[in-house]
Amino acid sequence: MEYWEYPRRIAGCGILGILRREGSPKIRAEETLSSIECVRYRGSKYGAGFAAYNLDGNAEGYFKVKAFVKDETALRHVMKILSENVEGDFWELGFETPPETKFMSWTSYVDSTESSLRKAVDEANRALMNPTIRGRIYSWGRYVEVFKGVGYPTDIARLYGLVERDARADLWIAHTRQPTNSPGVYPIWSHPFASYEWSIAHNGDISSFGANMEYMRYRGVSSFVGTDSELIAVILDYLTSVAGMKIERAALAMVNPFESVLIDSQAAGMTLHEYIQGRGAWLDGPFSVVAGYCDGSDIYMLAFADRSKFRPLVVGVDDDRIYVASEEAEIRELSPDSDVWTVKPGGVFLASMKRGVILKGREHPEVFYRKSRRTPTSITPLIDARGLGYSQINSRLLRYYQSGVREVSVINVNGHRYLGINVPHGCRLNIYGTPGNCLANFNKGGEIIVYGSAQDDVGDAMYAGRVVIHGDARDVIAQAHQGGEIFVRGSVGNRAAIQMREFKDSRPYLIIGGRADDYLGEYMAGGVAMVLGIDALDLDTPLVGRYAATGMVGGRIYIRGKVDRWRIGLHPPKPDVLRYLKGLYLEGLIDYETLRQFETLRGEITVDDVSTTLSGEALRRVSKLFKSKYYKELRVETRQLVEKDLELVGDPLRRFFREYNLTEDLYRRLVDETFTVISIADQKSERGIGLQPEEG
Amino acid sequence: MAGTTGKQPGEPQIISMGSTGPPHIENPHFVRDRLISDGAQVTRPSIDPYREPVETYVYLSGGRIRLSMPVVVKTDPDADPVFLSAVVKACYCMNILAHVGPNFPGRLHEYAEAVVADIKLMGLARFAALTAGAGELVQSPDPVFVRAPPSEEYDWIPEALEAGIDGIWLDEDLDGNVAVEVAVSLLDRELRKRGARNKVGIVAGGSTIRGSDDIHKLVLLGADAVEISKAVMVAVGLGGQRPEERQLQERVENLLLGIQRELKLLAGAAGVSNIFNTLVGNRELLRAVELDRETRIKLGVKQAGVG
Repeated sequence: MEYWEYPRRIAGCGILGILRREGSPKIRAEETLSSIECVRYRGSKYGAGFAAYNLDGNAEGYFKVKAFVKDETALRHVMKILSENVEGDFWELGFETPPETKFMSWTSYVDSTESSLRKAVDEANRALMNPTIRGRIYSWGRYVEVFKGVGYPTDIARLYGLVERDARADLWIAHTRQPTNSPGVYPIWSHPFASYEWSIAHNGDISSFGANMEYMRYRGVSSFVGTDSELIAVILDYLTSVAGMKIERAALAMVNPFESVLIDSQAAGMTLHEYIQGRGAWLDGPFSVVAGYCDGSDIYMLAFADRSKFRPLVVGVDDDRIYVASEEAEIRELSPDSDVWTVKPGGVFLASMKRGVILKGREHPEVFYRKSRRTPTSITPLIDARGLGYSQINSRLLRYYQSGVREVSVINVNGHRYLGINVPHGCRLNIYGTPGNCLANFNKGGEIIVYGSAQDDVGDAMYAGRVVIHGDARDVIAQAHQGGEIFVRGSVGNRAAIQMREFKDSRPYLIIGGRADDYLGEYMAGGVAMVLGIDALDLDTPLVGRYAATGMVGGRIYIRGKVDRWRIGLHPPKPDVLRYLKGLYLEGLIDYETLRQFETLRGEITVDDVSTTLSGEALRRVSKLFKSKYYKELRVETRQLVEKDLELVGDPLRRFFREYNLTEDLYRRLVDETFTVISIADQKSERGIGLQPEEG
Repeated sequence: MAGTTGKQPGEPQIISMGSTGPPHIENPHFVRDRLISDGAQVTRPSIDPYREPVETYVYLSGGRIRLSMPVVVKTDPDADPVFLSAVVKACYCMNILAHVGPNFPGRLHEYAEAVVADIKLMGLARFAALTAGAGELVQSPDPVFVRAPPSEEYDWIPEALEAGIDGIWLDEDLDGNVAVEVAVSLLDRELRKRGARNKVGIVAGGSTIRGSDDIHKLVLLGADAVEISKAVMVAVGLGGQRPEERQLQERVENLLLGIQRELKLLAGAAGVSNIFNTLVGNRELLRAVELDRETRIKLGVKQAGVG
């Protein structure tokens, strides 16, 4: 197998999960390996691993216990603690990795109850970490088996001979690691981390680590290898196996819903009381997690993302399998035709072998996400990306453009980063497949057409030119976008159009055919972002997530339909605003009717609610909860488009419709719709300052 | 410390990088002066609370009490009635608790939801703080806290838990025999050991608490809320000529708002978006500078630059 040669660059870890549907063939190790190697650049030589689940793999019902041991003494220690604690016998399978590895992997079948083994594992692991690291029991389930070590995924697969012996599984979890919290020189720090029948792979760095550790410290787990990721496996196991929580509920709680969501327990999927009782178990900071679990009758694949969506997470489904990945390229490597969508901020995705998709990780993915596979029809020079690295593609492209060719197509693109960064003004690049992260960054005038979906960070700091995506795009599209236009036929993820800016002769446009997640237009300083939802004209659902336009200082956002004001900007918690208003009532500054009016208001109380209802001293007093030195007042209007709007967006919108062959009827219907228009209340000038963006 | 005046109320000062604080620039006075925050970095980015949510609410005692931030204000037993009234009203408006002495005036009974007082004042105060040990525990429909001096001895805890207390109020001004930081950390772990941590709230502090940095550190060591007293009087400029009650109330509100914003900045700087779940007892986000090993172990805080 040949893989692209990437220069080493720091990126996040890569995660992957592949679950077969009942009735479909088992998944081969080789497929899993080729998929996770698509994001080789996200990892490093410091750790990779796999977890394999097989429902039918354990007829006798014995546990398969796997330990890394430094030497014979450490192994004797493990065996002694096991034999003292477990009820039945154990049958050693011996070492499965060669003696030259720093820590050899030792395996044994163990006949035990869950609780005795649980205790033995904790005791052995505590002993093995004191006074120095001498080993670790890292896998002890009946249905799950972990294979991990120090190296890239290919190295680990070779170490355990996974491809050579054609290992197969109902579910694979895979990981390639970029260490942050702990060094990666020993295999004990590699992912997946397992606890009982759970295994997880994690990309991120959770800030709740210390709180989570305090939570688990007196709940039967006293030994930690010191990474945040291990704790996620331990907590999932504790909540579902010991505390008796259902998987869905545990996961919905672990993503740590905002209090405003928790107050509505229906929306949160749990009660505020449950949240408080389990305080300390929930996660904060960046994470995207894929986890496997087997309860003896079905196999589950769970995935969830943090509520700020600091890490990527996509899912895919086809007739045979269900996928979870850091990048779409991992899914496309195995399944060019699957339906792929982004998990929303704080979203939970759950599927099982027998039941299929249980939680989708967002609302209406089938409406908002698009499949867009096409083969080239125009006669242009062709580059086959298969087997090439991105720099090889880009230098070939440059040679074509320098020789006077104006249009080039690249086929079989899958996860190649940095494409479209060197397309000259007046030239065109057609991409067939799934371009990797950082597409069209710093584009200075080229036209880039993507027949497929793009990944994260499209059009970052783009100066001029066009990007036309026929599928979807993921997180952080059009960041610091400062000229030219970016069209997406489908949906985009989190933090679209953040820090977008404009100049006197350069106004950037981002037009999204589907929907956008949280923080649309955060810190936006200029330009125009539009969210159309053209496939959802008859669906009553918001087209943006929350916190749209927070910190916005300029520019304009158009979102089709009425967007509730609480989705726009940042608001103080409702209980605190209500209390303040009650204080004003007690002081005689507002009357009882007014107080009642706020108490019965649905959703959060916004600055517009208080400024339209209150005046004088009462308004002055309560305003301080909403405003600060860094607060810029937004103007949020829900209205039809007027001539002035069409002057601003008419031409790009027409081009959007032409580009995707959308009908004139649809155009007319769209421009007649109601839009939510967000701008700055005291915008000084209609145009940005300075003529053109300057190169930084 | 947040300013109490200025164009916008309660605006934290933005200063340069580096530290002007203890232990190396200013002299360290307390154990917490030798504790520093382990901030966010590239893989765990900081959160900008002006544009993204950092939740400061805390629930005490299994959810029976909700505070907008981990702060309560204590007034002097013989506080000026105008000041007392201003503090109670400000705490009410800002959705936190005021801890008052026996001279709590009946005319403020409408604000009782935000008041903690001695158990003898039950009826006037919504929440009761009870001095002395578990032997004197009384039943009350309202949450009951045991008020105790900072100590390393918690042998009375099982009895108090048995009696169904809702929280423990560690009051520095009760002449404890150990630093409040040590007492908080040991109490937090003691309650965790007994599986009662999420049912029993911990409030700690007193007259030495200077501002949001002290509050942040005590929360990281295990306090659900931190009590400030003298700092409030100093900050609102009490002494000298006496401002009107309304003016004083607004100053206290602005002070609390400023503290809340600073707490958000401190949490955000550590990559934390939620104080209640993530910050309380999260010793991993602290590091100790030039602190003896014995104290470090009691606090459960690692030495800076080591682990």
